Amino acid sequence: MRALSPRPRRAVDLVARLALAYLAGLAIVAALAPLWPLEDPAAVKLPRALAPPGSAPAAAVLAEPIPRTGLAALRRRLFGDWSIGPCLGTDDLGRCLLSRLVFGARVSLTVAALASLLSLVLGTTLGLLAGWRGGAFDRWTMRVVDVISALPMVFLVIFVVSLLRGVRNARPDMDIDQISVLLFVIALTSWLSVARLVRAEVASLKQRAFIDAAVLSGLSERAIFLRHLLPNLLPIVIVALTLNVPRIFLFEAFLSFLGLGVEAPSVSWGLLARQGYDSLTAVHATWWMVVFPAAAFLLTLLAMNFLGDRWSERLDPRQSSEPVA
Amino acid sequence: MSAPLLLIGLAGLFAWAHWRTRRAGKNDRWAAHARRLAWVITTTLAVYTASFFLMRATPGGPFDGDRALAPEIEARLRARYQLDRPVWVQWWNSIDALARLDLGPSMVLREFTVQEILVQSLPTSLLVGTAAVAWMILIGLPLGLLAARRAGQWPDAAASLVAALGQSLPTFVLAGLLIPPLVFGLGWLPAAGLESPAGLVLPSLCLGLPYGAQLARLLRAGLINTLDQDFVRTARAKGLGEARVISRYALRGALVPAIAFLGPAIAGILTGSLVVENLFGIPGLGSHFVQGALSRDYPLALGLVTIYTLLISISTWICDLLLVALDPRIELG
Amino acid sequence: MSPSPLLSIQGLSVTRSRGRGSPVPILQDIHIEILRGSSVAVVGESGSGKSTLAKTVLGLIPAQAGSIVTWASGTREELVGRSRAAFVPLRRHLQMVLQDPSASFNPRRRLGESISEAARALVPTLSRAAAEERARGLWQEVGLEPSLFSRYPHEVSGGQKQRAALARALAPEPSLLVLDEATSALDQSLKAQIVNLLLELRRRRDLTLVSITHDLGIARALADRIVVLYDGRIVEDGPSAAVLDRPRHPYTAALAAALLPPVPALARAQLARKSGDLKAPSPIGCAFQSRCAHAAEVCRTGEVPWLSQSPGHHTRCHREDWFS
Repeated sequence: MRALSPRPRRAVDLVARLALAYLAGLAIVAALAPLWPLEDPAAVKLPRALAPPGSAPAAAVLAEPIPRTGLAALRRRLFGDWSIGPCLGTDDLGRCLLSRLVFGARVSLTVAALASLLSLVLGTTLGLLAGWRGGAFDRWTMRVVDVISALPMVFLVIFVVSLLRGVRNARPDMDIDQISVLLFVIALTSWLSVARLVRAEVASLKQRAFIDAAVLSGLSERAIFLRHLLPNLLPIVIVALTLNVPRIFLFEAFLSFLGLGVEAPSVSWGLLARQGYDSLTAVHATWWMVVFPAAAFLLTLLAMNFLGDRWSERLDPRQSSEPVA
Repeated sequence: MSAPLLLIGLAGLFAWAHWRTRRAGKNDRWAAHARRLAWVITTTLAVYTASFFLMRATPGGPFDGDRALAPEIEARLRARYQLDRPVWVQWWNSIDALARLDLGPSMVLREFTVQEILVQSLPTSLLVGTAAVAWMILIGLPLGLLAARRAGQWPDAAASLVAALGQSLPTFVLAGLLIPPLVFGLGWLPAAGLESPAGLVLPSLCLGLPYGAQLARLLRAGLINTLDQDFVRTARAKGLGEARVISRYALRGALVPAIAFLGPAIAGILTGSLVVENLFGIPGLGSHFVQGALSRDYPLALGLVTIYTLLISISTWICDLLLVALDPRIELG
Repeated sequence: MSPSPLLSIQGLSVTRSRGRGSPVPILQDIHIEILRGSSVAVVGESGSGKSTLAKTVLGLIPAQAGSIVTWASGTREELVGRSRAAFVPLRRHLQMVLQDPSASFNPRRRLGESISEAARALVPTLSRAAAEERARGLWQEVGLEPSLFSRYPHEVSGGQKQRAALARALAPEPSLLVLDEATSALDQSLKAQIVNLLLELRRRRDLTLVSITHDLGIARALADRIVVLYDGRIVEDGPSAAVLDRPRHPYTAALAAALLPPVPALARAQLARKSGDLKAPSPIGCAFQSRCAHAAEVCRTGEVPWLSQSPGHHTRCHREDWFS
């Protein structure tokens, strides 16, 4: 929709590139979190609790026992005991905020990426089947999608999470991994829009003349599906993904913020935002615990939303050079 | 015996809608309304039923809390909450109660029934929600108009920037950013509670601002689109003033996507109210729901899930009606 | 050597069902005999069912009644009722150029690939290299620059795409080629070029042509016989010169003089019925009555008779003598 305005294209593309670079950088930093010279995000150091940025001394000691393999070992070999220190301040337990942000990004982005991927696979498969086969299968699948999307998913998810906590409380032996459960629950609620988008695209592609042309060329149904339909579906799948990722990212943060998502000792950005909020009192001006997580959210969501818009815009039929039949 | 009446009524509604469609054609308004109402009830019942059985299927009730209860007390509690009966009977009885809008007793706030909690907290939540919608329109409408009128110039860029920022600041982050300056720094607004009208400002602003930003974007796009159309040009050519052209002609068309957004926005504001009520200590539906979920007060959470389903279904219904009133080409589904 | 039939359409009816409503007839009781080596044009307004006719012959739309028989493969083959898979062997002999050249190529495939793909799929004996060689040969034959062979559809013009579409249809060396509005997406000078190319290809390859068009000039240039469709029925059928210069049906006459009366309410209702919006009753008698300048009381009755005007020239009209 933004394309309607006479906005310089080059500037838009530059911002898009910056957004992509930022997200890629964030993903790399988060994925390699144990490699960086950061403190242990869970190491409690009460003497330096609530220290403003840059004021507290770095804690030298790393987690014991000393790891022999993996990123943590490599980090030890590269940096020894040295760490950057809490340059973004510490929280109420004296933990390094910078380190918590980096490790929190790891959890938040992993949940967002895996849940998006899962919902993408689910939604694309069903949308493809419904759109390609048509008929009663299509009607019933889409009716089910309609019915499910009329449900207040957020509230149901909260209810389910609450139930799961009850289960965990009653049966500690079942060893339920909160983060994987969260991931699946979120994925199960977000495939609907993907299925709708993909189905609509398949249904419209099926009507396009080049599919008729492929039939006339004597291709088998399989060949038409693989060679002519699937490649043309890729753009809409990418759009579905870019629209889904920020939504899922926010959903996880929202649940964690309420105390119904990721739980300590794991860290996620939603949890950090909550901590920052809880630390606010009239007495302590602990601005860093609010501002840095907020800035992290703002930048990341801006980048995600901008990229999503750009992709949908690129697919806008009003912009394509081909005449619309 | 309210449950059978409810189910018979529901079936009757579906049947009537079917009959009416046959008689009066596919586009009949009354059939559409009847079918819609029937679906609202069906959805609510389905959500209730699914949640009910999920709840019963999971081990771990609210009574296995921190300390063990004496067996006879637990037995009495179980009897009070009908946990000693077969699950189907429990379900049927609860549907029966639901039909009379009786949602049973809360488990953690033991003095209260869910209905009492609902009656107390619904007006509060509606107040906060309405204020949030007001903020949304108050922010979104001028911002969108400004951006569209000055498309491509700096006010447009500024408004778009504000809109993009607002869209990327979720309610819970916004609250954290607004509280320190407005509450602790300047002391203009109270940190919590709804005792004074000033207490309403910050929660509803946090709720409404992100949706106001999206509304502004939709309005801008819609207005730029309609301002370019022939009927608007004709109106201009007739010599009508710019304000009149926009309010009389262009806005009507541009409002369609904006009203279409109202439904999702209301659902989103209801979701966001969970956070806001929790943060600002507002005794609304949202804080009770989160509390219920955190303390595993299943009857309360179940009742509120049901109420939320009803609220969201009805608000989307109303938004659809508005949409049809605005654009006669849209059919009632 | 007496001309032998290549394709024979007998009593063909096609209906389309839209949603829950009762099926709407698109084509009714169509009879056309196409001789080997001839060139036939099917003309009519949009909505007359001419595209449906082409797609039905090529098995893209199923027929509800009637028969389509072809001798293109050397033996007699019935087309109606065939599954898509069973149709494939016949596609080598019957080919079609679709209406809109811009939409009829996969935007993510190179033009040349689409052509060799058709050759390989329909002529299993061709190797990959031989198929590409044939595609390149055809590419030149339809007058395209060799450098365009591996371009994507959006990189070439509409006229070039139309030529490429022609090359693709010719790839399996068919004996019958159906052209669905092959020139209507092009401007005047390109139209003439394509018509000339088609005439040349017809001569060189001994093609039988069926052209679907609303453009009588194209029909006259390409075809030696013209079939006129109105509202899913044939209203006139005869030699090109006779049909265009001495039309014997009021509709053809109006079409030829480009004096077609506007669509009145009743005919609009018929169109609406087709798109499934309205339950307008099918009019009794001639479908053209509401727009016909010569309509009389008799036109509102019964089945419209087939009249023979001269050998090979027939019309479907109640009024035998309106033109005199």
